[in-house]
Amino acid sequence: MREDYDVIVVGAGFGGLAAAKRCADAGLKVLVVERGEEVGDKVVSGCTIPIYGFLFGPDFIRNGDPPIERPCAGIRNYLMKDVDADDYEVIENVIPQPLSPVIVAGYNIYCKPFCQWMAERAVKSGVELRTSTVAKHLIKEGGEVKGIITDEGEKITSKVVLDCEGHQGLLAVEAGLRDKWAPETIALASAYDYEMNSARETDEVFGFVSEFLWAWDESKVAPPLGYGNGLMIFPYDSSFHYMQDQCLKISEIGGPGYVPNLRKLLDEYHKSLTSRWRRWKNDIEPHIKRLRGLIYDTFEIFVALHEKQRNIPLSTSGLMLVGDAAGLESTELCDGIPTAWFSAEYAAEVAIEAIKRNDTSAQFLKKYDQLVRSDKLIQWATSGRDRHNLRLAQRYHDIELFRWCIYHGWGPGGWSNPDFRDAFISRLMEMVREAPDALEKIGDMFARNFINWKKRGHDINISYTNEDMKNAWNEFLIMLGIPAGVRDLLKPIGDIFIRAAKEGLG
Amino acid sequence: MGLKLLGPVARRGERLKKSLSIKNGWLSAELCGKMHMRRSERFPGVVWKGDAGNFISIDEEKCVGCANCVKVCMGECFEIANGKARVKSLDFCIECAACMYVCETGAIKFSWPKGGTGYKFDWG
Repeated sequence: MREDYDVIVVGAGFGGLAAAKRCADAGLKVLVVERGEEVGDKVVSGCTIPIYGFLFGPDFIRNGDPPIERPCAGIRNYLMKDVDADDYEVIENVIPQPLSPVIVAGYNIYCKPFCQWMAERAVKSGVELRTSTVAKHLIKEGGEVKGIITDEGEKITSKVVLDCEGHQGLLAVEAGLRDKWAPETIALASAYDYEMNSARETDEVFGFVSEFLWAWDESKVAPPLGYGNGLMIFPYDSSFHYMQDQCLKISEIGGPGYVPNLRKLLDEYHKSLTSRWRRWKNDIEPHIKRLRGLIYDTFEIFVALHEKQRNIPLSTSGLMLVGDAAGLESTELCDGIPTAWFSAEYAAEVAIEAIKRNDTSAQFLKKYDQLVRSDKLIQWATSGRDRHNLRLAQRYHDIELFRWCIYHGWGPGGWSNPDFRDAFISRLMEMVREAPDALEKIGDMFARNFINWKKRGHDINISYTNEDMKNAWNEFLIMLGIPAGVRDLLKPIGDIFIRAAKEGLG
Repeated sequence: MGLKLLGPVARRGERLKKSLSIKNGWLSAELCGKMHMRRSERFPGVVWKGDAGNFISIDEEKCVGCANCVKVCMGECFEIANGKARVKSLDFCIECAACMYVCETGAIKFSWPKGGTGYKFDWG
């Protein structure tokens, strides 16, 4: 039998498009099906992509000009004790921003234009993209996945199917690889999109940090939403996203609990905070032009912390799960994009090899499971408990635990976590060993993204001179608050690092 | 900084105008009618397009009437009648599948709406 395609990718999101492009670059015939009318219709953002995603993600993103909204130097955490008395603590002292390893120099983005940018790149590489198409079922022959059946009933065959649907993973469930995720590991978030008067005012109000507000005593801050609710503000170019989230079920993971009345609570929480929080009233609200958008969406929050969900098989004959569909979201940062990118690249790698050998059996595709399960960065991301414990700290009013969780989850304490530190350094060394100019390219990435951001455009095909890049670098480091003395040290430190990587001292 | 622009500049914010003729973020009611679009005051910036079909169904025999789906649904899609949940209207469903997750007996069957239908959000 001759298949219609080598690879069918279900879902044109961060993982799907990265995998599709990589397969197409290797000469495979690739189809991406997307249920939305346009790529990005169904994505909901409110996100900072942490820097490790850009550093170790797909080349074409690192070396390209993706549409970023605002560089993000860190997170400012407010610990709100009593909103009416304006009694709060800024837990900034434990996050000297430029030192926060995971968030520092990440980028705040709108997912829609970012996915569209990725889709353009994928199509240029030869990927066929079909929007307005739902992959409703899998074609199965004797336990082997042979393609998809669309909502129109059309059968499209392929050697390999990549399920990049997102956390709902309906095809993964149909294939019997997993059950639906437990509700206490999924959160529902509201995403308010506020347009600001101008980009300049956004700079002044937020600077380059995302802001999280944690309610210490619910009764003194907002109607009880159950423990664990937070407010997150992600500043964009001349707008920002205001997000609140709560788990679909309030319980310990795997334990008994109750389903909160989320519609009522999320609305009340928003009303309460926007009418009582003084920073909102005095500093933020006067600069808002209008509420431009409001939507709600579910996202993975603690999926990988659930014992059963953590160890599901990620592949079967002819099918691999990528990103959220596989439960690969960062439980530490609630960010699935870097892990989606990493797993997409592994899935593409395995698919390319499997098709070359003409062996798409479950046994061969097991290689994908092994690659993902042995990737130290993915392992670190999917096992972090600080975010989860932070919710417990809120619930039990343990302020020391709360500070500790922020310090280790988002602060410089991340470096004291060997899981992260070792994974980060060894991955960087690997990159330098493979390509000696890797560090230089990373430097260029920061400078280029910074120039593009400052020019309020992207993808603009700028020819940069070395002088431009150097200036941009310096400006960028100043923005991050890195003092001049340290800036001068970066080059010698880089040189030592490269030598260490090459000589295997690491 | 002496940058040379070689290609067209894609500015942020322009994508909206390109994809839909939206004035101030809102589609005119007239245009909505013509294009089979719905919008809700509760959800600024979101439009629902086309006939999405009955993509969420409830197995009456499995349903125990716990109303979890009613509690988590932002689009007010469900109601309880005679001790059982039923789908009231999927007009403003945001396709998040929260109902599927909280249904402990597995009575709710969630699938994707027809391709190209359902909600579109421009600030995602």
